[in-house]
Amino acid sequence: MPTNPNGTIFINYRREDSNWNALALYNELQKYFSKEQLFKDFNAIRPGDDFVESIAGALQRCDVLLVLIGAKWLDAIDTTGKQRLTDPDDFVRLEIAKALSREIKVVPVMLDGAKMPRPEQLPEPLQSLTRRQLVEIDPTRFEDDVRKLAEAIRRILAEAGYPSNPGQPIPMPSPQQNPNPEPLQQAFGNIPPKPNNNLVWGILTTLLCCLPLGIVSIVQASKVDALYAQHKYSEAQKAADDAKKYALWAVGAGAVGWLIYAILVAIGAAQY
Amino acid sequence: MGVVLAFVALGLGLTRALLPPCPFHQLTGFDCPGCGSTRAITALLHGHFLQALDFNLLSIPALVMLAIGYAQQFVPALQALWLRLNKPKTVLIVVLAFWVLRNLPLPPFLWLSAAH
Repeated sequence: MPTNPNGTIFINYRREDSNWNALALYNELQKYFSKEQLFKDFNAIRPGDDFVESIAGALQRCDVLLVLIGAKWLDAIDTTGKQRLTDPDDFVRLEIAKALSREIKVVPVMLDGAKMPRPEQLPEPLQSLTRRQLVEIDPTRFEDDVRKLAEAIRRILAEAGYPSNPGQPIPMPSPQQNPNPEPLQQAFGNIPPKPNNNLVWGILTTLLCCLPLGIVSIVQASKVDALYAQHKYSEAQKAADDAKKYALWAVGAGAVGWLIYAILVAIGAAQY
Repeated sequence: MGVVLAFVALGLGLTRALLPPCPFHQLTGFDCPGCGSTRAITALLHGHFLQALDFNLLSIPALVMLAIGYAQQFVPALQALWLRLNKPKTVLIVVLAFWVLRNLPLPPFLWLSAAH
């Protein structure tokens, strides 16, 4: 892997812990960085290259090391039943130790809700890893989390003196990019929970405050379930919000009405 | 939802003389679905259930629904019950029907009126 004029990022991961996670992150990071800037073992190794040499060379030149830590990262064992991290020749350990000793930026990336181990759980050369600012990536917020990670990496590379705008602007995901997100969400099972229809607010204002405006709140509440069943999630959310909004207006109108009434009574214009 | 508690406190602390008459009733002379609910709560606080229903038939069902709807946030055992009660369309129909019927000047419906 040649040095890159825009800086390079090394993805360190353990196969038995984060094989697919590493691949997903590698692919997602290509939205923000060129393929030549990213190094993830065999992806950047051409057939015939020496595995150990390639990794050592890439580490020698990399600017940021991402350490992917999943649920099985700490306790992974080799075929003899020994904890891999205790093996001084373990690649994952070698790579992290090398990066830490080079004092380049090392970013622990916590996956699957994994927690950073305590220093005493790690071999001595890796203990300073626990003091590094970490990033968490959750599959339900994958694109957002990776975008934040990419922004952090950009800052690190800029501090290291690389051009801050290497002609590849960070795409900011915006709602307009995906004009019809709901069927997609549905297809991938990313369905938001049904919003609270706020019916209690409608009942409260309609029946206990003597305010017909509360009726509007109940009408909105009755739309929530139907819209949600039609997969119109944002509209269902809006109806739910409206149900609450109209109920609050009803309360507000009631308060204003009470105030006017109190003033009228005070000045004797109305009968008490 | 402190509103619910505030409402009960209001009923306890104040007599209905301090509360304004329903503006809808003032303007139109008709009862709205909530008319009589303040008196109903006052009656309820004195233990007069039938009188409460007389002032506003929906007052007690509404209070029960509010209590369950509020409590189910903290009491998982009530969530299934709330799911069956949480029918905005039914509530809407009942409230609208109540609104119309209680204003009919015919014998069986006079009882639904807030005034007596």
